[in-house]
Amino acid sequence: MPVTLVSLDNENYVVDKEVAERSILIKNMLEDVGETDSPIPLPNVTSTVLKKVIEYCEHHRNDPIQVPDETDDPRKRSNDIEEWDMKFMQVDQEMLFEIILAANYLDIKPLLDVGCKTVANIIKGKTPEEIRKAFNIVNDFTPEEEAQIRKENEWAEDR
Amino acid sequence: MSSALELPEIAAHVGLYLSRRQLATLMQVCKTWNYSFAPLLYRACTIYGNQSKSLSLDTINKYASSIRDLSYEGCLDPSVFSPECSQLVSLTISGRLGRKTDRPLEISTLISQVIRNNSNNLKTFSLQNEPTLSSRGLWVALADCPNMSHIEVENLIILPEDMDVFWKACSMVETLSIVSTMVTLELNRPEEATPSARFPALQRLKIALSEDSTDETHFAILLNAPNLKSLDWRGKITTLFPIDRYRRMMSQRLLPKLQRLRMSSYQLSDQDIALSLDAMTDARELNMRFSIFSDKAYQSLMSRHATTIRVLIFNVANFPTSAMVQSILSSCFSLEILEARLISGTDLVRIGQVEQDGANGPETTENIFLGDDWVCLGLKSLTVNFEMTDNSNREELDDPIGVERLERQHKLEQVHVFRQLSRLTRLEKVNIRSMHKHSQSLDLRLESRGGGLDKLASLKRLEWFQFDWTAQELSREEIDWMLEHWPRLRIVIGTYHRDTEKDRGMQEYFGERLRLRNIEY
Repeated sequence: MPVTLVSLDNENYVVDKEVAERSILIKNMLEDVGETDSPIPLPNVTSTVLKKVIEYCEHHRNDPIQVPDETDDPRKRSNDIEEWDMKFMQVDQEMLFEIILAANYLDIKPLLDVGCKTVANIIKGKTPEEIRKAFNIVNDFTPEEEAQIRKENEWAEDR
Repeated sequence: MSSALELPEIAAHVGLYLSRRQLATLMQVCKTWNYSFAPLLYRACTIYGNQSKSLSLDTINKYASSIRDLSYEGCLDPSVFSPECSQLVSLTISGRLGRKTDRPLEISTLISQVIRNNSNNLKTFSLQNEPTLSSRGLWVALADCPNMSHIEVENLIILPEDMDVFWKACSMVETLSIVSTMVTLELNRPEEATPSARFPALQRLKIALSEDSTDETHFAILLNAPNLKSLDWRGKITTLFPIDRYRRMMSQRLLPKLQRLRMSSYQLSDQDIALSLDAMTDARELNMRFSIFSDKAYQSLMSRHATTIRVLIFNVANFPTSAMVQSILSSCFSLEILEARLISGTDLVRIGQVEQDGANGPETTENIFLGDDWVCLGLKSLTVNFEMTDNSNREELDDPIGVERLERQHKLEQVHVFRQLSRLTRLEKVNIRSMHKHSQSLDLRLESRGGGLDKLASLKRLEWFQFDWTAQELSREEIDWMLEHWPRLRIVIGTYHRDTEKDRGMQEYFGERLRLRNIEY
């Protein structure tokens, strides 16, 4: 059964219901509305991002729905991203963050996880200056302020 | 556009994958990120007393509103108990008094003040390692916390005159742990006509009382905790277990909600384990490391708890039998952790002979008996030695048919065990350590070299792989394969090769490759 999704810039995308329902937000909307052909507006998502999100949902359409494990290890790892997902996430930074925001808004947990793991992997092992370079961030701390923060957080260094 | 990280829920989600050190680094990047990640780093703080890099009082005060879990380790320093912390959910004191500091009462009073400042939110309290920190004021303060649900004490000396407030503080908790601490509690207070449940909310109890504690105290708690779900009862091997009282308690079903039972120091008989299992409903955990799990216990387990049991830990020679282990694996679909001595290849698959009436009289045909598939697809941890049919001395047999059958049996066993293991895709720990050096076990070589390792590619969550004393002839190829296919692999314990030189070389190779991979993360 097809569902029509409408992006912020009024582009229509027709997808299978099964694919659209990877988004819990859309799933709930469809349940509330019932059987209808009317398109679903997604005013928070532009067409370029929506296309990517749909691509992800199509590829993962048959994945089992993740049930949070009550004994899940809080020490989360980010080094277990599948190959397809890794390639999927090889986009420019702006798109990466747009995907994360869209996954958050649309409530697609696996995509949100992958997005955040990807960001975490960019951050890992870098110094503050390297992180600034990686994300085009201007340093608005004075050297004294930076030194003070470093001193304050010393206790967290070894752990 | 990294303004996405300014959204607290996104920052928090990314922060889940970062270590404390990385969170600290992020706080230096810019002011916005400092603001986003400070609550994540300071949510759980540890103060290592008297170390140069420890949290200062100023820093604690600055981030006090973010701190939820606070832990004091190392040397306890009075100056770092801050009145600003008022959002604590959990407080742990596992530090000790320094040699110079001789004022346990001062520190105890400071702890009491922290408890009082956080009275409304405090849920978890743990006091360990420093015997002199107990004081009346501390337990009174704790008893006033309306949401207190988890108390742990270890190595503490509680004075007899403070015992009543200690028990008052413990009376409404859900989780109680008393380890190496002498406590006394009378079974029946003489002034009470009908003893009321003293621990109505208690669900989880861990007791490892000191040697001076009497049995009376153990049972005074147990018989007054009707909602108990989980019991972890430890003692020294030398302590006599109050078996008669225990039997009475179990046969009278005085712990009707018990689902988890752990008695890892005592040795109970098969009969007593059966009695315990009979008294439990929908049991989830049985950890009787030194007890005799045999026919009666097995019967009780399978008839009452096969569908609900999640954790089974045994470790005694021959108990449970291989047939029992195979049966458990193929019936208990909720199983998550299993530790048993061994399982034989012949219980998984067996070439047998069947007598049938043929056209020319009775014939013997061959049949392959297959053990049932394992149903515990959620299994996370498996510790069992696979005792496979030994084909290593086939040259010594002089019966060609026998040799051929031995070879086939050996091969079938390997195929089937790997097949069963490959279906357990949630495995995080696999330990096939053998009891006898160089015994025949799973052939962990790659298929191209005669083994079955490739089949285990599906175990994507595997972190711990142990195979010591199983006769292997692995090479660097296998190590490379493991690191490639098991992204979460952290620990490998095993003898890669009989030849000690080769083995040492491979241990080093693995260590090096693992280090390189970890550097990336």
